[in-house]
Amino acid sequence: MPYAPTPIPVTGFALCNALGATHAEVRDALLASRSGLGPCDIPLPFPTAVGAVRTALPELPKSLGPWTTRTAQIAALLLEQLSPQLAHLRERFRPERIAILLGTSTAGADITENAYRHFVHEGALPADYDLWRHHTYGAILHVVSALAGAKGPAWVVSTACTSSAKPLATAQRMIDADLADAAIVGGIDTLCSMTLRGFFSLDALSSAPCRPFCGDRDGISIGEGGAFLVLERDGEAMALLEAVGESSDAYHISAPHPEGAGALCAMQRALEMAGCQAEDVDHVNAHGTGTRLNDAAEARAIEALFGDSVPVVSTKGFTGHTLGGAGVTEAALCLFALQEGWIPASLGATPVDERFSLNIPIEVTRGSFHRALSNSFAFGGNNVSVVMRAP
Amino acid sequence: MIELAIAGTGLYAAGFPNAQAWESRIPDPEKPAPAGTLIDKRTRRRTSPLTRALADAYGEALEQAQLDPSAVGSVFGSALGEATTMIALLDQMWRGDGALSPMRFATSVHNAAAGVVSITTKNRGFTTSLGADRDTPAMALFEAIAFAATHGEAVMVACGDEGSPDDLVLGEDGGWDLLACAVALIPADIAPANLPRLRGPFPGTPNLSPCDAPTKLAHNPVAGLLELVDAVRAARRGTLRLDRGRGRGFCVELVD
Repeated sequence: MPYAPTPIPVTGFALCNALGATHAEVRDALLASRSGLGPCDIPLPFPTAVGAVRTALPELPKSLGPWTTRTAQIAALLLEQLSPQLAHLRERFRPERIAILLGTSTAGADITENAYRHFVHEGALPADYDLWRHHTYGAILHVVSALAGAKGPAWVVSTACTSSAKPLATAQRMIDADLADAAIVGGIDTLCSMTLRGFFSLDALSSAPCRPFCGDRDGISIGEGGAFLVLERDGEAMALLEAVGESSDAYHISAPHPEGAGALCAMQRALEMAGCQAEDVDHVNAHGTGTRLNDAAEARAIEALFGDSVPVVSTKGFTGHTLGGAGVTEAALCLFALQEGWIPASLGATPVDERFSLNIPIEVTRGSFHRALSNSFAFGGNNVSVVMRAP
Repeated sequence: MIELAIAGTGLYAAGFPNAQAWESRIPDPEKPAPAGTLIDKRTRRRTSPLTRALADAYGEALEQAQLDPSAVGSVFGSALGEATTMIALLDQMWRGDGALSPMRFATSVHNAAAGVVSITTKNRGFTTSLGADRDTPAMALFEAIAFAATHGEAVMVACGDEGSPDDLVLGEDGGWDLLACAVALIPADIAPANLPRLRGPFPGTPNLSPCDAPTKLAHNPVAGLLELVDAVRAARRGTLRLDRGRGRGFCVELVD
């Protein structure tokens, strides 16, 4: 019998990306259709626009000083926003029953690439560089555990651009299997030279702010940041995580299946697990990276399942592609639709690619959004579709 | 406590191309590199030693368990992931002209092995890739057990780490060698009765001693899964620690 997951209450969320570091800042930018994409401060031999976090980040407490990285500081900022919810969690559940399930693709790559440059030029790593405190996944887990007071199972999913969407599925399974009572779920990526140069090498990087679903789109813009969600076995829900569909393309390590077969499969699984039909979904937050191939494959998959009525938005024109932080960021952005009844414009989409039969809003849309689906797709042919609904 | 049956085990370590070779403890100098035979030849050329080692261990456990390669769920774990590929990219950035190889970049992701295995086995099902330093084996088992318990399906766990990236972890413990291990897990209620059972992970006290792994394998961040594979193969039963004393202390219990 197929797994029919229990809807899990989302009891808190925090965001930090190029649009801002609070709900209000992110909301204001989305409602004003104001992109966070701008010039890149990292020296590069090619032009590109990035979604940099411009907010001043908090210092870590002295005891965590040796773990200081940009990733850890963004985590600290997100956890600060969630202080009331985390205090409530600690009152309700034993720390050993609160899981930490994160996603990242870069982790501390920004520090490591600078340390390695020092190694190449000076013959030694910087004296204060420590792989285990700056680069590895255990480092961010240590910081989040210490700051949040959670001591349950803790790991980092790293499946490239689905890294922070998959922990939502894991959290639901962990709670359903009674391996945890609650979970801090999230993901963060930070800008680094290797990622920018890597996507440039693949001819996938736009030289200007990205334009997902536009007929003239020419690639992605990389962003940084992330989001954390608090999930509890029960509680006062701002939304319910209904189901997460996961699939593999089984096709190519870096190119999507041209017909979007894996993407379609992930969306179908999510709907089946949620026990709903395509027509029950009121909004799709697309992966929508802005590359020719990705958007075409995803558009085919969405058309096949939803037709042309459901509003489909890519928010990467606002934030850039935050890679390992994208899945949870975009799930969090769907909460605005479910809680407040509006969805942003699909920024940069005009003129929409004429080959797509999709309803792509080019202005803010207000209405009743009861259920939303958010897509994330990744290298390795890894696909995730998250379904959430209003409580 | 959730109980899973262990239907297969697999291993690749330098000189030990499979779990059977490991049992003999006699390294074969003719087998210095993982073969990656599960992966199709064209793709194999482009894969790292880690991806090939994980594929070897995965393939061995899968074959023993006789699970459907095109349908079984898979959890891959690694503390450092594709470290050799990352360092090659860093060299291109800081020693070369700064231009990166697109193929190297695409295969630098932590889930490179997961992607390659799903492509080669034509598996459109669940696959994931995770890390938690030296707790990687314990956390991979948590992920697998949660999946098996909720979906009621078998699941593969494969954990591996390359030899220590000595430019980045200077002299730490003398470094470590490439190691990959795998187990095939089946929900106990649908598994044959003769298979050993796994309970946990849980924070606990082990009553099984660590196996006699050479130091350079024992220091590998995923050596905890070697403990499990070794105990299953040697029919040792009891509670064993999944981090060789260097992580948070998660254990599993092996019973008949």
